[in-house]
Amino acid sequence: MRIPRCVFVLPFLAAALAAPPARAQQDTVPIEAIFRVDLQYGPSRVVSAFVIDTRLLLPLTRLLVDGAIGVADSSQGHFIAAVLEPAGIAIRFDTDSLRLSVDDSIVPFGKWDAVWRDGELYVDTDLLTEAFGVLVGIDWIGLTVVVARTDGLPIARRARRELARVRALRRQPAYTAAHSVPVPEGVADGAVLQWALTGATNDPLGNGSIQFGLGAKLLDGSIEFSYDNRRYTGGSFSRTRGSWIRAWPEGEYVKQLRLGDVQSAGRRSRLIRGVVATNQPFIRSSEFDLEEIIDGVPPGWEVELYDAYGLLDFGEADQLGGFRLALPLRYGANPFDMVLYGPRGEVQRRRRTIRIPFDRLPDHTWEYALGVGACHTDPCGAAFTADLRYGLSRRVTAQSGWDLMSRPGESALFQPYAAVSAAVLPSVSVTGEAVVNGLVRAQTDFEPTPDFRVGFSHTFFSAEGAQFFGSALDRRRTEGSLTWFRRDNLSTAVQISASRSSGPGSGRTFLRAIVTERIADIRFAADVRHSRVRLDPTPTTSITIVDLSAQRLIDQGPSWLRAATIGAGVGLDFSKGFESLRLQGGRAVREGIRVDLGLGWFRTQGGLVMDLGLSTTLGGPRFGSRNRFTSTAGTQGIQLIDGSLLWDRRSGHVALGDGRDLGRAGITGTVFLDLNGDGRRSEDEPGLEGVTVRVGGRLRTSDHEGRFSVWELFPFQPARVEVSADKLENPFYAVRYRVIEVIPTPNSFVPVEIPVVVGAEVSGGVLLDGEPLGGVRVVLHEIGNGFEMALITYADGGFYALGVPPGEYEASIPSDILAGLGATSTPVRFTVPEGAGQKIIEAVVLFIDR
Amino acid sequence: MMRRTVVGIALLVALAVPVLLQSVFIAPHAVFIDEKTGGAQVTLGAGDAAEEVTVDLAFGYPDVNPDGMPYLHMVDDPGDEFPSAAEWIRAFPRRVRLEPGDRRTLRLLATPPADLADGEYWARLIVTARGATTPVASTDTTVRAGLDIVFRLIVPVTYRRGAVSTGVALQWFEAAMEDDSLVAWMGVDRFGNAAFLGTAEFTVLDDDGTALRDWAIPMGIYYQMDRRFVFHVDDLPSGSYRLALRLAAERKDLEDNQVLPAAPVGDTVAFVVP
Repeated sequence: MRIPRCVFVLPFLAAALAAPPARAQQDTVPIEAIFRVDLQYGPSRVVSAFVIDTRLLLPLTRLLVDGAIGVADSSQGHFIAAVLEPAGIAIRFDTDSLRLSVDDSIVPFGKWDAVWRDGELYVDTDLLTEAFGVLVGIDWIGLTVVVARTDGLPIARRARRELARVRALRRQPAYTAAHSVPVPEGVADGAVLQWALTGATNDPLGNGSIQFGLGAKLLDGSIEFSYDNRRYTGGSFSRTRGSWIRAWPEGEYVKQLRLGDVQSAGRRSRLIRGVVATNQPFIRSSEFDLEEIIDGVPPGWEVELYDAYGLLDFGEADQLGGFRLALPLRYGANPFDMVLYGPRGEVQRRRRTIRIPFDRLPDHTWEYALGVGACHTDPCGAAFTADLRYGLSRRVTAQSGWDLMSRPGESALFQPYAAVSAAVLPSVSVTGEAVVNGLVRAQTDFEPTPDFRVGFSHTFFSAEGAQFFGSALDRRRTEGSLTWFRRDNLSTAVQISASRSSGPGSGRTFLRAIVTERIADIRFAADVRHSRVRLDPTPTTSITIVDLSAQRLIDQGPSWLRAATIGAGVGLDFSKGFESLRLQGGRAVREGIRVDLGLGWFRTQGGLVMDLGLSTTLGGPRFGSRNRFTSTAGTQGIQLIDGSLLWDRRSGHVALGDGRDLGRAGITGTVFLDLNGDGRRSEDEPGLEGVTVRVGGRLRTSDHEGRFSVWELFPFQPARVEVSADKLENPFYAVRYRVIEVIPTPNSFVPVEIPVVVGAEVSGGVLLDGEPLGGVRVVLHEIGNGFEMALITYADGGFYALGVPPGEYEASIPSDILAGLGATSTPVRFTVPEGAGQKIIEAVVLFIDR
Repeated sequence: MMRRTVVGIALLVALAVPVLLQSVFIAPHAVFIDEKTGGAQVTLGAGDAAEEVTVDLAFGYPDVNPDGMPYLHMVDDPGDEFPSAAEWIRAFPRRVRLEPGDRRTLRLLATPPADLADGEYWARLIVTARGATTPVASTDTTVRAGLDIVFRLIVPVTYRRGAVSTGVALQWFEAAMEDDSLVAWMGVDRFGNAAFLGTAEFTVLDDDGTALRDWAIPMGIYYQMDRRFVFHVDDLPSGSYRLALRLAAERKDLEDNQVLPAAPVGDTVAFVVP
């Protein structure tokens, strides 16, 4: 329901309609009159107008200027042509032919509907309605004209943009300092047991694997052990690994220390059994830096900068047409839109992107990594790695270091390296890398918009260290890729990748092109793969396979079919004929359980094939089954079940996880009514049910005892716990800490208590020389802890606040306002008591004297 | 080109629309509280302009004047004569400043007397809005007041305790032509301990019983009332007709559980178009 503001408008309208043209002149001589024109979302202006019979003629050029409508052409005494942007509607008032044209439509008018006087064309208000879609109300008594329904005019669009900017700026979160919860003390805490069992469908015990992982918090770090046993036809092997990892997010020189079976850091990570120290963050923030977007438009244009989440920045072109906007950059792709608004309603869009590679560092930051230990999977006995990266500028990062590896029966291999990653233009990045006894590589990427990207790289490998780069046969390799999207009704995507490598006695060429296109809710895909392999002395082999498929999500029809995906495909080997014919479908049969079924013919399987799959994602352990039934080989498949148990030492509670929980962290908490105000929960202080808590971006609702729990957080990284007072059921409730910062510890839960206090309703007023003062800022300052609440007085001088936490307060007018007014004011003190009950504090009156 | 009279009618609607777009709104447009909920939430929103909003509760109910025209009968001091909830239902916050596009939740908390008898108790939530003031700048000694236009929206608040029931009895019903309009009078009494929320459906029938015109008017009947209705029927040919009335506890704008059941009542009277 809306407050009927029309009660204000209607009397005016009634006057306009009740005192109509009868009061106007009754002859055909244009009578000059002065009217005030109120343009909705635009200026109010007093203009000269003409009254002819019962018509009011308004100056067209003046209205065009006020409505920010561009005049395309004009000839005094003959016509005025305008363009209504952004649709580019051509509007022409032609007084020679007595015709109004709006694009292709023609509206004839009479000779007294548009008349020229002193070089200005005066146009009947009805004709303005025809031309611009506005509605014009005339108050003949008050000599006022209201031009409404101006939403289609550029001036209204500009007003709405400005409003959107105000709203966007207000959306920016204004966090005050967060209350920090100390990390729980203790040598050890918590436990996570993670497990995964896999087995072949027809021989689960003889062909399968068992994996167990056990983790806990130890010495403020994460200790983890894993056991992996794999069995296969004719053999088996087992592997045990252990590690301890600790991170110091605020550390300057060491941010991570890893012991045991860990990944080394550096240009190329290796699994070693040893020690790694680095100042690289445990979790790298996605935020990179601010990029200043500098571009140009004609003077007088406005520019707005958007990303996928909304308005980021806005500005106006300077006198030379230049503008600068600030774009927050994140690692990865940063697509953004610049929307350019012309003074006459023109709208242009420029879609761009800036990609920040993950090896780039912000300006003047440095990172190092040192690692030493026995090699696990690489063909070396031991490795000693050192790496150093430095952000020379926002666009250039240099990197250097070495890998020193001992090799059984050979001399140690020393691979010093240097690399540079740079953005030569916002859309062009280059990477150069040279590794002694390793490789020399150059790569460039061009990505002008989010819809187009092309990349190219070339690498020379040395014979000495090729085995450490996974390319023992290659001496050179060239790779290229192209990605292109067309985002219109057809939604086309093209991805092409190609590589060519060669070495002594060998050569490989690989090309793949995928084109997908959506037509009428069906996604068609064509996948072409070509490979050519030469490995002397065997003959060169060449394979070209084309796979065509179509897939659709069913969104109508019977309920049992809705939300199902169905598809069909055909594979063709150019040298052997049909490769496959397939039909497939899948659907979630209930929440968290999905069934997939496929039928087809596969040449490599020798006949008919049926695929049956089942998977669950129910929040606890997951189950997956993939089975293939063929007419020749019988049944083949794999069964998987995995999950985890999470133990909270303090509560003794054991929760079920989905098997991806080792090394993660959690927070458990209680929202309670803090009756004694000490911030800690006593036995007689009840938990609050149904309170929405945001923990690390995840929303939880407290149970009947006020408890909530969140897992899957990253350890060592501060997580925010937030409760909005607006969401509390009792309006008198107030949160003592709006934001609580917790540092989760690995493989364990960190407890947090969220005290909710009973606040007060405080009201009062401000008097300036005895008169109510509206629009002035009043600050409620808690003397004990410095908590402050800023209020603005209403038009009647009153101020009001709800949920003011307990404490000793001083209400005052800020000194800068008093200085501006040249006045003084004595603060007023009041107390909000602790405990329950309704607390209403009224008549807090501040006197300002000049 | 359109005639000016047509433009005038269009203006009546069209000028109101853009203004409405900028105003304050509130939802829902009727609030119901019972013993279990003990309170309710109301969403308050601003349009394109900042608004200062004051929230009050008072006692009032829909009534008719001697001419049969409806109005909202506000009672400053209802005392024991009326089932007022205005004294023990409070709205929080009582004052709020809404920035353009803001949404805020108002909470209504009921703290009824312990010895409150079963029945229905009424109040009106009065939301008063005015253009927000501009904050005083430190260097600006000129204080800008808010816009002078003040708008008020009144929303019914109903508190139900224990067993509640309602019903209506049609005391009399008559209809006659006055100029080009059909004027109908309805006398209706309410019984039970709750207001009757329903719809009055009027249908013009010809001699064959064919429905020629119909109107549906939502109604809240709190006390006995003699209500007058006026329908424009200037396009009905001369002749004899009947006007059928059906008053039923049905409201399209309310949830089913908010409308108390009651037996429908009705009558049919004849009238002549000269």
